[in-house]
Amino acid sequence: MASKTITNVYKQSKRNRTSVKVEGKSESTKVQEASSPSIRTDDEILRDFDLALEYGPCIGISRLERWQRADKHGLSPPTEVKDMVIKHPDNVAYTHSLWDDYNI
Amino acid sequence: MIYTGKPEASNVGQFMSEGGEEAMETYERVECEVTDQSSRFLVKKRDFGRQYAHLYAERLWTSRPKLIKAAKAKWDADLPVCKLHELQSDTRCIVVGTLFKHMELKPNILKEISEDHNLMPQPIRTRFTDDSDKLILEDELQRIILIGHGELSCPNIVTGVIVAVLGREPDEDRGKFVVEDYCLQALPEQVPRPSLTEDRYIVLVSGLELGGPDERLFSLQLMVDLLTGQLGDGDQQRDSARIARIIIAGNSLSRSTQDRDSLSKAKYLTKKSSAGSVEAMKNLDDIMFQLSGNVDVALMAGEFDPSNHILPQQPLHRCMFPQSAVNTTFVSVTNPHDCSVDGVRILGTSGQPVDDIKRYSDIDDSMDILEKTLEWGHLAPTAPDTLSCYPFYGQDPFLLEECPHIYFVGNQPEFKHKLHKGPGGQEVLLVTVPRFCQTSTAVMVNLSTLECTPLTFHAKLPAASSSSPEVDK
Repeated sequence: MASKTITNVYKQSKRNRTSVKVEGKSESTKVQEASSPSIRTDDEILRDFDLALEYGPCIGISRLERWQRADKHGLSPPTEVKDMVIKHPDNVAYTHSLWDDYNI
Repeated sequence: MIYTGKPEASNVGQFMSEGGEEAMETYERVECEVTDQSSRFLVKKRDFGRQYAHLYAERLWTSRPKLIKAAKAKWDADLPVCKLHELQSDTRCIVVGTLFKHMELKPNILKEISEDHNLMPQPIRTRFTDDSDKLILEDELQRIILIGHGELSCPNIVTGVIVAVLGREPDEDRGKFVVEDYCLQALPEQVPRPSLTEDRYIVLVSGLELGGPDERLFSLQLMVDLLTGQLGDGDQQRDSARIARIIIAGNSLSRSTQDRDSLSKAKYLTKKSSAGSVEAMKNLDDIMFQLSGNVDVALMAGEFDPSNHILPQQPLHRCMFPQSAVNTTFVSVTNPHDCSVDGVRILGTSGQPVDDIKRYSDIDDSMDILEKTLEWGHLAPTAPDTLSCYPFYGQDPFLLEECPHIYFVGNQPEFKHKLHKGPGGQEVLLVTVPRFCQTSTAVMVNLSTLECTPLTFHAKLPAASSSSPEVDK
């Protein structure tokens, strides 16, 4: 153990592990990345819609209600937000705003 | 015609002649088409989890296009309309936003519980204005302090009014906006009043205040008898038959019925006593039953009535009117109330918005305040800031979308009426209905001419003398 430092040991095992795991992981990450860009970028779009102050306060109402209110007053909210919310009616992460579970 | 400003005495002495052979005449009450337009004030789903920001946002967005139009018409049409975050210094532009009046003396819960102030309770005041009040203009994103108001001065305006101001943000004093002039939205379109062939009347009365020390039961009974056509000779009864609807504008129960002493007193003291409102409600039901027996009655809730405290007050529940609810002519309505009788639009409140504006501004005259709310385009601008209100989100029901023909407010100190003429040819009759318990006056409005006459029922009964009558002496 004196000649070998932990980093050597670590590196080696890491190299082994990562080499193995990279192949294993790459498949899984590929699968994950195939599906996660859709959730992650969806999330970003919805979050941007929430934070856009032009459409008024976002707390206390669902995203669809906010979208409809913005549309009614001619503020032209992005239609992709509405499509996304309608496609996932049961998923709270989609239908309600970012701060929904904060109870304010 | 009896019910005008200048009644003509005809057939004087008719009562004094003997009945004779003339048959008993029956007069039929006029039938009017009454449509209730107050559905926006009914709160079906009570969700108090929402914040009031949505109400303000709705108010601003709905009023903004109208204000921009009025501002461009009043000032130069080429002036840029900026939002506050787009303001460039030293550029003359128009900004549309909600006014907020910062008042030092306004009751503030934070001040009350703050330890720095040693928990000094704020003294009870009737008016919270001060010379140090400031006006701030807010839109969706930012707020800015207004200086150099000119006509837009603190004593004449309250929080919650949407205005368009013309001015500029000076370069040397950023964060403040120098106001040159201001503009309110134009009075909305008014559906022209239909021309009626014969006279129809509606009667407005408020502040009956039963169950209290001020109740005037005798005058009230006189009024009920007159309106149901049991008083007066043939001519009077024929004219009473032309009364189409009676609107009772709130405070049918007295403030003393709201006494909550029974909650704090010991049980043994209050066991046999019932709430003051029970007896008063029974009386009210009796009166409503008599009235609704032959005329349409609309009963609005008021500040002291057993309805919810926040605006819009929901209709009084029909279980409290076991006798009157059976009649279809009796209808319990919201406060504020919006209806249309034979095409004449009638809108009014029981007085809470006007009283609230009196507390937070220096305007003393109820008629002035009523006229101002018409100009501001909003029934209750101080809601929800100082006047409790339901947190609406989809719409602000107090905004004036259509111009009414008759605009009334109940429970005011005196009877006043005024015909307000709008720029687009609108004519609105403004009526302040006095409290019946103080003035014994009801107001009768002629629907075809918008003429307004007070009906006062004086009853001076001699006070009971302490000595016995001189019969047996």
